[in-house]
This record gives sequence, C-alpha cells and structure tokens, in this order.
Amino acid sequence: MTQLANVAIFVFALALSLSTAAASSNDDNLNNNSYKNKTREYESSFRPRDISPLIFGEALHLYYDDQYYFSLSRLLTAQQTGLISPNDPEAQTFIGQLLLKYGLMEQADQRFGTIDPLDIPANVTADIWFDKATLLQKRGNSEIAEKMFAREWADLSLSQENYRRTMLANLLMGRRSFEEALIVLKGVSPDSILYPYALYNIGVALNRLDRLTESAEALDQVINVKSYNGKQAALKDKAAITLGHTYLQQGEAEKATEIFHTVRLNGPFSNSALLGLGLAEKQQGRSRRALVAWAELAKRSAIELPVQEAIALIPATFEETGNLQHALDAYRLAVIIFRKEIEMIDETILFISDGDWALELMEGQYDFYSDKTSNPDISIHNLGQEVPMAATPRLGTRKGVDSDFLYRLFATRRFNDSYVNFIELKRLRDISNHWSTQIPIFRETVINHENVYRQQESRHLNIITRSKALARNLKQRLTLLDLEVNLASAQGSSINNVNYHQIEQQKRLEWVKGRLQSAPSDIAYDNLRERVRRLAGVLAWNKLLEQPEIRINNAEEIQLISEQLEQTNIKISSLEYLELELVQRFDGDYLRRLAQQEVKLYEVVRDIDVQLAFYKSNMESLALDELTENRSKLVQRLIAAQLRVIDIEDGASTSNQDRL
Amino acid sequence: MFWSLKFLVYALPLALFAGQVMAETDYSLDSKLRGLKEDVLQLNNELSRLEEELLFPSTQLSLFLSLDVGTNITLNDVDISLDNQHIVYHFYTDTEYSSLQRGSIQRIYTGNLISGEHELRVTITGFGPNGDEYLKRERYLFNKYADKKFVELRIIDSKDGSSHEFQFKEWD
Repeated sequence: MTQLANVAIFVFALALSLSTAAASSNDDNLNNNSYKNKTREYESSFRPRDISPLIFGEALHLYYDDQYYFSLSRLLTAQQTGLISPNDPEAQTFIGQLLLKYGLMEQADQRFGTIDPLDIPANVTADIWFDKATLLQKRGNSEIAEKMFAREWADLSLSQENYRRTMLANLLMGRRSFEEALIVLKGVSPDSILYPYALYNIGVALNRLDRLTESAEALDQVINVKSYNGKQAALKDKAAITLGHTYLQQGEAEKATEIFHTVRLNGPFSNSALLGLGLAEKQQGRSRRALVAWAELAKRSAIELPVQEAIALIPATFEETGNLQHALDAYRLAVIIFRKEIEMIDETILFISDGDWALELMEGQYDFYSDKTSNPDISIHNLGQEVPMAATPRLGTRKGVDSDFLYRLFATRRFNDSYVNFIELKRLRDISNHWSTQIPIFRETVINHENVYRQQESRHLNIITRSKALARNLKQRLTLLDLEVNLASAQGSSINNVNYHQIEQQKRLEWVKGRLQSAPSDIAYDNLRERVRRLAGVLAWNKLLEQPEIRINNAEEIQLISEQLEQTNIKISSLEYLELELVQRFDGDYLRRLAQQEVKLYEVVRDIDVQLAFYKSNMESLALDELTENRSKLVQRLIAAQLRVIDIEDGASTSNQDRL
Repeated sequence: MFWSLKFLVYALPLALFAGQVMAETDYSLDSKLRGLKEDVLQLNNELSRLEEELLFPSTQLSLFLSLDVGTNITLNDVDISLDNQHIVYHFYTDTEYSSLQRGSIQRIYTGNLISGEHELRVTITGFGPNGDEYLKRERYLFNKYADKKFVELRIIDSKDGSSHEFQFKEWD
C-alpha cells in the first residue's frame, strides 16, 4: 500500500513536470508572436452571461424617469453588443414602443415585424396602436388616426379605454362631429384622471350644439373637481372662463360673476376672467364695479387682447354714464398706453428679427435629459398631441413681449409644431455637440495609451510570462506538498508531520549518533549512547504527541498559500486581458471606427444646422405675422381713441362756446 | 363687389395651392427631421460603444440598485464606499423611488476596478411604516476577476417589515 502510494506520488509529479514543459512551450510561442494573434481567443474568453434583466431594468428606470431617448439608446447599444438578443420579443417590443415615442414609426414597425404577434401581450398591442394613432394625428393624418381609435378593442384596461375615448373625441370635435364626440366622452369613467378633460370637452361640445344649460352643468362639474396639479387647475380656469361666457350668452350675469371669481389671479386665464367679470357686472347695470375690474386689468401689459379690450371699454363706459371728463382722461390714457405698446411691439419685431429669439424662448424650459414637459398650462392644449422626446413650451421669455402673445402663438398648430421640431433639433444638436467634444478626447486617449504601452510592451510581456511561470511552479510544489502531507496523515507516519524545531533536533541527534559510532566502546561513551537513545525516544514521543497539531497547521498553511496563489492567478489573467484589450484597440479598427463616426457626425451636424435655421426662421416669421396683426389692431384702437378724444374735446369746446 | 369677385377668382386658387405646397413642404421637413433623428440615434449608439470600450474595458465595475419591497417603506438615500473610498451618494426623488417600486433597476455606479478582493460598504436611510427614520449599514466582500463585474444591490423588506435589508447579487 505504502509502495503503491509512493508510486502514485511519483506518477503525479511526473505528470506535473510534463505539463510544465508544455506550458513553457506555450509561453515561448506567446513571446514570439504578438498579442494581436490572440484577439479571437480574447473575445471568446469572456464567459457568456445573461445580464439582460439588468439592462431591461435600467432601460425601464430611464423610461420611468422620462428619459426615453437614453432608454432607447441603452437598449439599442446593448442589443448591438450582444447583451440582449436581437430575437428577444420583449426587447423588440420595448424598443419598438420607444421608437414610436421617438416619432420613428416606420423603424418601430420593422421591429414589430420581427415578432410573432402572439408574443405581444394584448394590452401592449393596444398601447402600440394608440401610440401609432397619436403619431399619425400629429403628422396630420387624422382620418386614419380616428379609424384606429374608433376600432372595436377587446381586453382594454380601463385607463386604455379612457385614453382611447378621450383621443377619439378630440378627433371628432376637430371635425365638428359634436354629437358623436358626446357619445364617446360619456363613456370615460369618472374616477379616471382624464375625466375632467372629458367633462370639459362635453361642456364645449354641448356649447357648440347650443345646449347651453347642459353645457353649463358640465363645465360647472369641471370647476368643482378637486385639482391636484397645475394642469387640472389650468383646466378648471379654462372651464370657468367658458362657463362664464356661456352664462353671459344666456343673460345670467350674476352666475357669470360668481364663476369668473373662481379663476386664479396668477393663472394664464386671469386676464380673460377680469374682462368677463367687468362684462358681467356691466350686464347687471353695475358699471362702477365693471370699471374696477377693468382698471385692474388695464394695469397689465397691453399686448394682451383682454387688456386692450378693457382699456377701450373704460372710457366708453364713462361716456355711457355721462362722465365725459373721466372718459376724456381715460381715452387720453388709452392713447398713451396703445402708443407705448406699439413702440414695444416695434422693439420686439426688431428683437425677433435680429436676435436669438427662438433660443430665448426655449431657455429654462428645455431639459437635455427629460423628454416631457413640466409646464402645466400649455399641456392642456396639447393633450394627446404632446410630442414625446421633446419638451413643450413654457410661456414667457426674459425679453420681448409677454405671455398672452406667446400663448396665442402656441395655440396655432403651425407655430407649436415648428417650436416642438426646433426643440427636438436643438436636442439632437446638443447630443452631437457632446460627441464632437468627446471624439478628439477619445482619439487622444487611445494615442497616449498606445505610446505608453509601446514603451513598456516588452517589459510587460516579460513580467507576465515570468509571473505565470512562477505561479505555475508554485502551484505544482504546493500540490505536491499537499499530497505528501495528506499521504503522511493517511499512513499515520510521523516522518512528514514534523515541525522545524523537531527536524533540527533530529539532525543534531543524528550528528551525535554518527560521532558516537566511531567512538571507543567504554562506559562513558556507552552512557552517552544510552542518553542519546533516550533522547531519540523522547523526540519520537514528542513527534507523536504533536503530530495532530502539526498536521492541522500544515493544512492551514497550504490552504492560505493556495488562496494567495489564486489571487495572483486572477491578477495575472486580468493583466493579460488588459494587455489584449489594449492591443486590440491599437492594432484593431478602433481609430478607423472613430474616424468613420466623426465623418458621419460632421454630416449630421451640418444637416441639423440647416434644419435649425429653417425652423428658427419659420417661427420668427410666424411670430412676426402675429405681431404685425396685433400692431395693426392696436393702431386701429389708437386711432379710435384719438378720434374720441378729439370728438369729446370738440364737444366740450362747442358746449363751452354755447355757454358763453 | 368687383374686387371681391376678383379676389375669389385669383386669390383662392393661389391660397389653396399655397396650402398644398406648404403641406408637402411640411411632410418633407418631417421626413428630414425623422431621418436626422435616426442618424443621431445610430451615431449615439456607435459612439457610446466606442466610449465604453475605451473608458470601461474589462476593468469595469457596475453597481445596480433594485427594490423588492411590499411594505410601506420609503427609501431616502444610499451612500456607497468601495475599499474605504466613497464612490457614490444618491438621494431619491419620489419619481425615482416610484420607478424602482415598479420594477426598474438603477445603474448607480460605473467605474474601473483592479482585480482581486474588494469590499463594498453600503448605507441606506429611509422611513419605516410608522414614519420612523432608520439607517442601515451593510458590508459585502466580492472578487473582481478578469472580465467586467456587475453587482446588484437588491433592497428587500426585512422579515419584521420594519425596515429594509440588502441582498447582493453578482451577475457572473
């Protein structure tokens, strides 16, 4: 058995030494050839692992954070690098949905085309169709969009059904089919977040159908809905304005007054509310109260139509009540205000023509990372028409004219579309700018790395090769030692399970024994021999006693060295990978790929700039049209006020002459 | 009357034609815009790949954070150190927290790391079901091998539902 074990150790040692020889031969080859020959090996050496749940989770996180673009980009990159399978239906569906949100319907359809429709859950299918219909509506293809929303849908969730109805009603109202819209809107469930919008549209539809009492009831319900955010508060204001005017139409001025009072003073509809309030008071014969409301309104910017209206109504009301002196003063004031506003419009026209008005308009309301608007007021106009991947505008600029003018501008589809496109382009430009600054840095980094690497290349290779050989040698010795210790333990032999001190003692004893062998045989030497024999016995006894402890210590030491050796091996293989990665970058096509992208980037930036210039000019000309129209109205009002001043002054002088 | 009729005869067809031209221009501009969007998206993907290859090769360590909690606990912030070096602090907004609750996973850190044994120390604070503030610290040892390392910090309910606990998952 012992002999057999010894043979086994011999065979194992032989095997190890043989493998060492083979490995050294490999090392030599490695030294002779460049690392680039191992690129393929490097690429396949990484263990394939499925981290797709992490990638999906991350894309979802970006999506929920309204960063659709970055979510899409992350998924596409992951798919290109093989982290997500190109045939994964879940991935394809998600990417398709994001492409739709990005406005790329054809590309989205290509993705959906690769998936078995049965792999897409029913509710997701509906979402996809609704996103498509919304996109088509945005592109002006309302007819097809309406058909898509009007289709019979099975298994829709409640929120999907509410969305479908709201969108369909918008389209029906757009082509003045108010009766049909009413039927559709009545199906929106009252606990839906879209319910206030549905109620508002019901009110508007009934108003258009001249069913004023019912319209008032619906709008009144909107006003009484508890508002949780700015969007809902703005909707309530808008409903109050519509309801107030409905009451005025019906001659119910008292109710109108009450309703106009509910509009927020700092909201976008406060001017209309003050104007309406004055009209309601006047309808009730309370001209003084009407004048108070309009006087408050007249303090505001006269670029806004309700303010102009109030400024014109104040002197007219004074005239009606026979207070000619007040009327004259008010007309004179109106002349001054209108003239000042005309000057301001002229300045604004110059500002728009000369400056970066479009960029000013965008300032503070554009977030590079987010794809959604945070502006509550404008969104209600764009419900269902919000363009994802682009913010919608907030009203007001740092320079130039005030909000009402912009509000009217944004209310026109052409301006709003141009603005949204402009913002999208600006964003594309920002992304391109980012890469324009990064590409030279990448290139410089690669070149610097290469310079440093080339200087150290041979030294690195030597160190790695030597370290590998050393680690391999250590590993063999450790394995052999471990085997010997285990064998000794199995045999119960104390030969190998000794500590250093015992070995030293053993050596000394052997030395003394050797000396005593050649010594003469007399009593003194015999005593000494006897003593040595006893000492040998004690040593053997000690060895036996301490053997288990020594055995444990040996095993622990071997284990520790093994672990340290394992860490060294990890370090060596990491270094090898790094070397290979670097070489792949230098000898591979990294710089060529970078150069290719740089050319593409240059072309894209050039195209973006052309488009940006177009949309900027388009927005400017639309704004200038609006301003010119406004200017012409103000000039008319100015002339009318001046004429009234002359008339009253003439009347006064005639009356004075009569008196004289 | 004559001028009105003249306007109708000349101006109306012109206006209609102008509308048609405008619609075609819009359509063509829309296509151009879509083309540009697609190009930038493609460009962004290629360059992101190149960036990752350059900046985060096999030395990459990415830490992800996910949430699997059923009780009414709010996560306030997370503070992470790696080998006694502070690497990231994140304060959670309501949107982010709600996003995590809906199953998303946040990439909280990406950096480079040498191979070998490393230690993560994570501290989280939040509010328990009763609104009480709590703070929790965890320590985690892991080995970085030759290729990229992805570690997920999963925050789960504690057994008594009064606070959060961590689970670490190495995606090897």
